[in-house]
Amino acid sequence: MMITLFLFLGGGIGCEGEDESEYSALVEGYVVGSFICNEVGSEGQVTRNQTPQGYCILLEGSKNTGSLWPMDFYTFNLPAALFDFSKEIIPSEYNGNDCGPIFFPENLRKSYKIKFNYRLLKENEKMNFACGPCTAMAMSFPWNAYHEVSLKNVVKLDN
Amino acid sequence: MKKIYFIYLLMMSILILFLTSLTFEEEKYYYAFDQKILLVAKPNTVLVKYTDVAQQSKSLEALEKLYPNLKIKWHSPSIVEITSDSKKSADNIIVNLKMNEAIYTCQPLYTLKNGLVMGVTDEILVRFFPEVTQEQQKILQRNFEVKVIKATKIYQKLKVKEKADALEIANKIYESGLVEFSTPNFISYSQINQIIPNDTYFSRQITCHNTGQVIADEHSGTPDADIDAPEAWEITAGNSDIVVAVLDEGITSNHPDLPNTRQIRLNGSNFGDGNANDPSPTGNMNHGNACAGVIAATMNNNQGISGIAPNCKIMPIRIFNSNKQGVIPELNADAIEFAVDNGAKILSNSWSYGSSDQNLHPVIVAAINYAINNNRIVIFSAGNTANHVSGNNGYVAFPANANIPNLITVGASDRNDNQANYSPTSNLIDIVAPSHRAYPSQIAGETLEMWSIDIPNNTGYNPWPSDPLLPHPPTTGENLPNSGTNYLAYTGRFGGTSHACPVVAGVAALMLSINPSLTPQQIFNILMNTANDVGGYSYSNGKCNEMGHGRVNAHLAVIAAIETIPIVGASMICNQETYTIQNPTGTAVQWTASSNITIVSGQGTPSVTVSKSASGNYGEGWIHAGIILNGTEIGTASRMIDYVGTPVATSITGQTNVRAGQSASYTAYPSIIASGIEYKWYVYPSTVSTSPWNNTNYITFYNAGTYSVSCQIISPCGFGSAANILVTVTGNGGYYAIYPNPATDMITIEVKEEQPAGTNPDRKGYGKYEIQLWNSVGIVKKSITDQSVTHLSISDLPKGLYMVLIMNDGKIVYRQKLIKY
Repeated sequence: MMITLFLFLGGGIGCEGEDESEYSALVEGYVVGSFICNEVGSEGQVTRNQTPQGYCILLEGSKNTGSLWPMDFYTFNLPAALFDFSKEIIPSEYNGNDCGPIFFPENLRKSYKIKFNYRLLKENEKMNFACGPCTAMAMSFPWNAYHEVSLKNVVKLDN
Repeated sequence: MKKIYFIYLLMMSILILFLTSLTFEEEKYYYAFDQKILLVAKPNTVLVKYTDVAQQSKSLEALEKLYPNLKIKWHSPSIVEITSDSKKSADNIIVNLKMNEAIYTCQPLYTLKNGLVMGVTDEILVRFFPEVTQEQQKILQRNFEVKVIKATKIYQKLKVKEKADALEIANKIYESGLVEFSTPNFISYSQINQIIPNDTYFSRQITCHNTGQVIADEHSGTPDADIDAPEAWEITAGNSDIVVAVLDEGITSNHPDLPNTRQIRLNGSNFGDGNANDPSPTGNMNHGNACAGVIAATMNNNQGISGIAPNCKIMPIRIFNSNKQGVIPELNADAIEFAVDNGAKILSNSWSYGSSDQNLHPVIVAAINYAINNNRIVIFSAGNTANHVSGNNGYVAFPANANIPNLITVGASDRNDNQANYSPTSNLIDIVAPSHRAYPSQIAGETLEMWSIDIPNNTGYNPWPSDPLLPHPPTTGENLPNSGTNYLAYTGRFGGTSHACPVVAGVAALMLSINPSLTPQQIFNILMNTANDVGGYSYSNGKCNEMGHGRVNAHLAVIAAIETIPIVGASMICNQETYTIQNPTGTAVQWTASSNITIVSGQGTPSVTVSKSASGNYGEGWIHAGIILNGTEIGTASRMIDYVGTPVATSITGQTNVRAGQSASYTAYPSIIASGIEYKWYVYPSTVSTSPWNNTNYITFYNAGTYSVSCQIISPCGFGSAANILVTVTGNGGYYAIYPNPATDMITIEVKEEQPAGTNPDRKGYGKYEIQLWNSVGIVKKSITDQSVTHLSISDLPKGLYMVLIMNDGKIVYRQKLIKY
């Protein structure tokens, strides 16, 4: 099995003042979806900025695998060069019917496997953003139910 | 002989007793203001309200065992009408039920003489006279053991204690003399006044008419957990002048249930990708169609569904791109402006952002304000952010959460009149409308079950697409419906607050069809005040966080709209005038008027000619237009007349004893504020200063003597005699005067002291005076003077009421109110 090791510089070195012990042990998971939304400022209004590309991560063996939203958390620091995602599955803009991320088609959800350490971001570290508009027929995506995480030591695994 | 006489007496007594029992059965009535309206008890029918809804089925089963031929009709989840085969068994049922702890009230079912049902349960509507104090109200509530469960500016809703007779208590409250009216909160409707359309799938539209029928997936709801659309349609199915803009994914042109003749398709109405002049949807994007169908799908065309306002028109405005992404906020704002500028009266918006920030996109907030400020009705869905079975109350999503007066935020109720599982719990919810109960991932077995139109030719929601963003089940490829004319152009798989929003938009369209001049505030107030407080939630002042003001009721909203229809005509009746009303098509008008107005001609028609009554006195008057449908009055529009005949001043009130140099206020009656009315004041002798203002006059008397103050009312109808009051002014020339009053820039204060007898009255000034000017907080200006005439600038003071004090040697010697304007 060929393993390509990719050290993410920011994640690998870690942020200044970060407690290494807050990071998880190395775990495996999948990149299963992505999104770009609008940043929201401290006054509760959107800024002129879009968020960086966000990614949805599903842990190996997660109970969420078969759920409507097959993810465990999301991150904004997946190394950009890690995968060469096709344009069809990574939207250049945001939203869907539910003001949430766009998940990859089911047959591609095990195609982007990674190994990594992760840390749950504290409230003051999280990015404040809003997605949409979306129609109000489907369930609204519950962003509050998912943690934003910081990744480090991200390794791309070949299936 | 004595014995025969005794037997005769005994027989007569028995006969009298028998006849008495036949003749003097208690007469039932209620008070419609001061008029007693007779009620007839249906001999074998009982109206029951349950306290414990969970126990109702057990209770009914037990009854049915005792009385096998019972007919059961549900009026709401807790109110049931039970009809037995005889009066005797109905009486027994009442006795039986009154002992049942699950029953709150149990009464015979009353009707009017014409058969209109007037069901009495546990609620009373009252309006206290304005002079009745809170304390008096509390005493009354205590005495009659009633609780206030809702208070509006118009009425209070009282709840009687368990097993009490709301009719009897309502009558006693009226007889207390403390209220303008007091009636049971009747369950009142005409059972025959319903329009049931022939549209194929109407029987599945529980939003409009819920009879407990099966909708889909073997689900059925609670009878009457609906918006009473068939009852509303008896009055109006809408007017083609009323255009509802649907800002959404686009609408199919020439849909069989929404042909282009019923759409306003405009160039420039596509704010998404593709042809700017074509607001049609792409791919399986049926959301816009589904919303539009709920509002205005054609009625009685033997196919599909019926919209709630099927005679109104739809303006499609596309704000989503073909990749399902919504347009940027700037374009959403442009789309709202486009709808307003092109004549849409109502903007239906079943979309939101994933945020609870109330000002997320200021440009959209500004656009909504623009719409409402231009008299447009703006309605937004609250979003599907909750999952109550998992303890998640959700949040109202932007822009539905924006803090904009009269923006209508719509949550969802379900087929049983409960809060839908995904509908957020929040004080920002204004009202709810029926939709599906829950998503399949929230509650197993639940799915989308609302009916609307679909993109014809195999795309849209029928068959159900494989789109992972939409719920599954239903399974991909499912056909619902799978039969009927053009069945692929319809769907039974719509839902969410997306469905609830156009329901309210449709009801608003019906209201505007009745009275196109209704403002956003009036529409908002009527919708909220006529919504049904269903679901058993804790409503406080008619509102709760689960359901807002309750589930929308189209029938009651339309009736309330009738009461706002303007009666057009002169504000005064000198001799004869004509008044008109635009009553709904198919109705007649029953005109009534105050005793000083006589109806000359036009009774039963939309235009009535009236005259001043020969024997009537001058005064205010009123004209009522009762709107009659199928022989029943369904609502009343009213018009106050400022005055009838030539106004005559009848009296003047004010001080009759005044000291020289002082001012006094005089008021002439009647008080009439109307264009063309002028109060003309005369004071004799005229050595006074006056400040007349409508029917009041501030008069400053400088010299002792007797003054005649009189006033005459001049009107376009002429003028009558003047009222008069005599004023005695005492003193020997000393006075304090402050003028002008009211004043704008400068006031003059004159101090001329009262002199001992025999001294020169012209001598002015006795040392220093302090002049203080007070507002409600404290001194705002002060001046110390030894002059008899002082000028004080007040141009720097804000408008309002002030008090001027003149102090001498630390004592107040004179005080007077001053109006700065």
